[in-house]
Amino acid sequence: MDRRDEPMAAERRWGEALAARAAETCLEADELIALASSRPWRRRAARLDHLSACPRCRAALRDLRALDRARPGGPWWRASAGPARGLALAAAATACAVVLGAVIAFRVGPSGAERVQVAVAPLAERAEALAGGDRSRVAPPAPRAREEAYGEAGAARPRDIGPANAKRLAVPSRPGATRARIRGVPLAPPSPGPRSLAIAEGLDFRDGAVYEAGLRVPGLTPGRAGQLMADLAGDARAAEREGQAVRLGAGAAAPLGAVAAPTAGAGAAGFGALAPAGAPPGRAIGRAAGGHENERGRIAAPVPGGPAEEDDFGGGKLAGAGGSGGPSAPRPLLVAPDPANYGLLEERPVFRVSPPADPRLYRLELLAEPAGPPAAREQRRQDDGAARPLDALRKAVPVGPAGAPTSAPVSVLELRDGGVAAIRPVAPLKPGLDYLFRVQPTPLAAPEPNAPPSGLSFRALTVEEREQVLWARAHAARAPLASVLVLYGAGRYAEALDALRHAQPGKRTDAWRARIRASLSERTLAEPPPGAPAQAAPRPSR
Amino acid sequence: METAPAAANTQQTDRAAGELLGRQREWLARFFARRVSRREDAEDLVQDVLVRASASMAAWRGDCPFSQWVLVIARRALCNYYERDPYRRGRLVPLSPREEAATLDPQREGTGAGPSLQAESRAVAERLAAHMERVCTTDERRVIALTYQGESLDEAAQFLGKSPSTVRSLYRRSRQKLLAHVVLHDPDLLGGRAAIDEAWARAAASEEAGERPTSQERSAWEDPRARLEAFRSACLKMARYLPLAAVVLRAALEHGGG
Repeated sequence: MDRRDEPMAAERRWGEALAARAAETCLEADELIALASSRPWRRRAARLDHLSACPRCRAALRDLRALDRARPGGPWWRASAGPARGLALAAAATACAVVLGAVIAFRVGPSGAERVQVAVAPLAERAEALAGGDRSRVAPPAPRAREEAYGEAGAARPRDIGPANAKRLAVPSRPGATRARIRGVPLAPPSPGPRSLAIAEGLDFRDGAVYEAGLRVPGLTPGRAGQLMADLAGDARAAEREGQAVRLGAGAAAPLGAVAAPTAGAGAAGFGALAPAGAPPGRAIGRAAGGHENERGRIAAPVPGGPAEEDDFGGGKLAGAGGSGGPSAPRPLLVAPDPANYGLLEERPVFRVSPPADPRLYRLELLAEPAGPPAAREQRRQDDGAARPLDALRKAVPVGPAGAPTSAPVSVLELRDGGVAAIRPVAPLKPGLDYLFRVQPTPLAAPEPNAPPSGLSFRALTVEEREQVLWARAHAARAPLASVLVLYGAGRYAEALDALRHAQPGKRTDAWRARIRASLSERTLAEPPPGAPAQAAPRPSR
Repeated sequence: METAPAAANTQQTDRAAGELLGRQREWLARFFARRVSRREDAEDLVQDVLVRASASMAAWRGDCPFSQWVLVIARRALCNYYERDPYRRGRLVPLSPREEAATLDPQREGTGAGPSLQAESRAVAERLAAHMERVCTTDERRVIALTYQGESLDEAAQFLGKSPSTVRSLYRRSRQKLLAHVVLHDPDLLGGRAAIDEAWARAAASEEAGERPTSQERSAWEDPRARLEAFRSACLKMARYLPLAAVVLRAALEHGGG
């Protein structure tokens, strides 16, 4: 304090008088204790006035504060025996309960038994934009996968995310929502167990891109669909907060268990292979029609060492994939589209065949295959003895016919003199329909009444399936199994096998590989047994 | 005949003392419960404090609330408890000498002045409080009270929760206002008009230039209403030369005569 600010003698005397006056109304002990505890002051102004004038109360307050400051430290549970420690204990117990509850909820999930992994990852662009097949536009933005509630601690991000075999699930309606699709995709093809993949896809985004929000749900049951969708909605809202507008809307409810898995045999029989029911794989069955072996009974997978019956083309191969076709082949070989792929991406694909070596005249045909009866389709899809409602998986998508094609040829071309020939559908193929491409030597023989259809089946993929295929192509490295699943479901067997290279080795990968190879082999004619004579028909003269 | 009334008085005194002590038990229990770890220790301390207060109740002079007096005993008991606690032993932060003295002397603030001086101080305080109420704001009154009682400006600032610069400006302004008001309206508080004039003369004759009144202050001293600010500054310089004896004597005479 400056010397000029020091109180003079008269002022000190006044201070003493003020102190003596204030001492008559000193504060009680509980008031001093309350002041020392820094609790809210009652009658703060009056008490402060008194404390300013009363040195005794100030000293008592100062001593109390000094006593509390001098109180040694120690564990908090030794600090006090009063309500403060009780409150601290209650708060600690509450915090522990909350943490335990959160841990249990994160580990178990809302239903109390399962774990759920939530992720948000970009999808391809709009289906309309993808219809043209422009792959460069399909390239999705950088993945934004993240783990959300119920995620397993330390678990890897969900990789098996991909749109395929869509099946709608329950989506809780939300005000302002526009649209959403929830898709269920089975994850374990060899053993259709309870593991499934649910994918939510919103198509309205601020940046024009399409993102998906996926849930990997072990043991998903119909009763849990609503809860899962609520989780998904929360995930979408979290994505919205991060700048991505994911909107969910109403949808139809169905259990994931109703989604048919592309289980064993589904790829070959279910996706259009023309094997007769019960025929063992690996047997190429030749059929003679009218004494002239010009019909192929089926396109079956060869089994190493297995018998292969004679085909009408002298033991040659119709398809080029995996075959030894070339200019020296005795019969025309399909060059494009890749016969290893069942699904067709192009609307008007050009079917090219290699020049045959034999002098016969061949007729190329592309026929629309009518859909078989649902029971037959369902029967052909099953592989584990349990019938699966295929309509839930692929609605309005006719699969291969059970009988011979009856429709008129879409396009016919007669080929002769060994030139490279191609046919092109006169009109775009109808998405979702199966088509049969066959090469027949002329003159055509009368078909055997009960003979199975011959030729190679293709399927014109729908716009949605094309989108899925393009998505799978773009995500083959990041989500190999999901991409394989998508490609396999779309009948793109060669691409599926190629995408499987990115998957980590394991039983599931091996099972996938075996299945894809079986499907591939079923689309390849068996090599003729060594020594079998090639039956070359005489070249007709024209 | 006198035994029975004496016994009755003793019983009444004991009953009153018991009631007085009983009223302290509640806040003592809260006080110790917040400061010791074991509830049993808190109860023991309460009982110990009450026994000590009962035994030394005669030492209570009545110049402070009884609970405040008991609080001093409780504080001392708590210090002893801390020193006895094996866990806390060696962890105690020693009290400052001032705090130690305050702990050991619960009634140290008693002035010990006689009744006449107490009455005189009370009268001076009443008149001074009236003047402060008239010319000072609430914060200025608090600052004046604190600094006049020897608190430094920093302590006053800490106590009032204000910045030191704010407290300093409050103190300087309120001090000048109060002095000028007392000089004008109640010169007896400063020893009377004669003592004030003598102090002014001594200030005017001061050899230190900083303490000598300026020309404006001299003119303001002649006409305080016209130059109030300068008059306040002049009063501050005059007050430095007021004799303390004159102040005290004048106040005593005023009280005795009044």
